[in-house]
Amino acid sequence: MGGGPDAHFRLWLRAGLTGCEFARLLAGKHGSVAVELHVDVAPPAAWLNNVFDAHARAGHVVIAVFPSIATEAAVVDLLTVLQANPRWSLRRGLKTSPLGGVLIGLEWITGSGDTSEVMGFAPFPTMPVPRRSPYVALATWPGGRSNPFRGTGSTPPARPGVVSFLDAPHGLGYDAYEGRWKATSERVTELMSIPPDDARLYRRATFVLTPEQAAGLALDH
Amino acid sequence: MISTTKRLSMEQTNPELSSAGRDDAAIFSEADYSEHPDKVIAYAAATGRAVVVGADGKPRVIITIPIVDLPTLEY
Repeated sequence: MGGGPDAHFRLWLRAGLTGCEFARLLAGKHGSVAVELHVDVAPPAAWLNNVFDAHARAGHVVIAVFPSIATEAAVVDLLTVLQANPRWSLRRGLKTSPLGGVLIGLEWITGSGDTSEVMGFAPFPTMPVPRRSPYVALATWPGGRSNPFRGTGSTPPARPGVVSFLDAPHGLGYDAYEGRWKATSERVTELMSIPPDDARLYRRATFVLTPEQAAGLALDH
Repeated sequence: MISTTKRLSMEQTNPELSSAGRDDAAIFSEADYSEHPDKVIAYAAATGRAVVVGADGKPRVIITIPIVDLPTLEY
């Protein structure tokens, strides 16, 4: 798959360093996860809309990787550009991280009108360890409900009009699916134990930014 | 119809990529990708990779999608 940042990011996922057993599986699964490496500058929001819709039609999870975005200030710039497009919105979490970081949720409206909760990755100390990645990235499932086990066993129930990675297709049988959920929960809890943190804080958070940088965003409270 | 699709050596066009070990890929223009994203993505899904270049010939976006199941790694 080559040796650039796209391959590095996929390898990071496949190695299980996020603690997520589904990311570990799907990142290496044929035809499942598309990595879009943006070599120099982030594209306009309309461009991302266009290609995310195309990946949805193809049934791909999509991860847009931005190796040139290397500071929190640059993430703020990216989010500000996206927020100006009607299909993107930002939300401020009610709580803060144990280090006082501001939880920023980024949402994208899919082609079918659902709200897709975007997962963010970044190499910043403010980010929770499972999402402290080699590069800044935005990851989303741009399609509809495609997980037959959503809401069963350990999986949180679906919310009307909202999709996330929990709705992505995985191709697993129920026992294997449930096993990966339990393994993910255990591994993430372990990763976030020293210093103590709580994965539940970040379920709807795309990025965690310092208050100083978050102040540069126009946020709904 | 994507008119500007070409199959080129990366060493001829994008030395940044060839230095990263990428020796061959389909090259698409930004207009190709903007106007025909489904076709470009289908190409990447079929071959594993597609490269979108700007008017200066430099890569803007590299799309990779595994064409076979990759082995699960252990930590």
